[in-house]
Amino acid sequence: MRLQFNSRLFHLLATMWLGFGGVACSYVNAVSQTNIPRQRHKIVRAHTSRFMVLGFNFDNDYPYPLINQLKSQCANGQVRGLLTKDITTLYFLMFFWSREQFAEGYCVADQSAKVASEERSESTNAMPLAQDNTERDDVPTEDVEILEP
Amino acid sequence: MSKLIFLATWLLAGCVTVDSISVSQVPAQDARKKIVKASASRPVILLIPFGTSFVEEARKDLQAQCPNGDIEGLVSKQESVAYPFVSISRLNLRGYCVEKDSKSSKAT
Repeated sequence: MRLQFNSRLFHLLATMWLGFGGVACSYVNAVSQTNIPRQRHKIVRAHTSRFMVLGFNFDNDYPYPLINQLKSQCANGQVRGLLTKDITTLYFLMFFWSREQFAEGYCVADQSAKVASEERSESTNAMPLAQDNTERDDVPTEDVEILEP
Repeated sequence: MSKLIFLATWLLAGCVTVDSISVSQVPAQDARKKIVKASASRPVILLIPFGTSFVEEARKDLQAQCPNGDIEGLVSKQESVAYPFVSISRLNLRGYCVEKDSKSSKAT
């Protein structure tokens, strides 16, 4: 009776373990979220991954392409409201792993660059061109009235 | 009877651990009027999880509470609550909803 129970228990556990090992189970390792902007029209996403055998991994450079992926989707703006997620997915009997990083954010028009360019254009219209410190004989030193063309 | 009480205590106790935490830039005092919170979780039964989409769900809930403002000073906390044979993976998000009026008044 005891041997039969142990055998049954063993088969049950083995079946559960094999069933668990046959599917891909994903675990969230880390999550981070930055300030979320009010302009949430354009979503940009990036994804990197590393496939490992028995957990052997010899460098951690695989998340870096995330930045270039996001930049390529938002060339003329800022990526804000970034949600990053680090996941481990286990395959067959945990012999094979996949470490994945997801990043999702919003591409917002670059307001700071826009304001800076507007300020530059305003300053160019209001003031004459700046002169260097070299002394020149042909340049008058008193105030010069700028005539409209 | 004492064994039953001990077993019940063991089964109902939940140990909580923080897996990850992040904090973003905190706005000025004037802008910290409206607090928004969101939380989402997923069970892990016998080490078998049921998806990772709860992270996006929590963010969506948070954004729904502040549709016309910036959400700043975000604290994101990912934690696990462990019970016998079952654990709960939970994400808590908490931040300040900064509306346009509060920003403009801060600027002037």
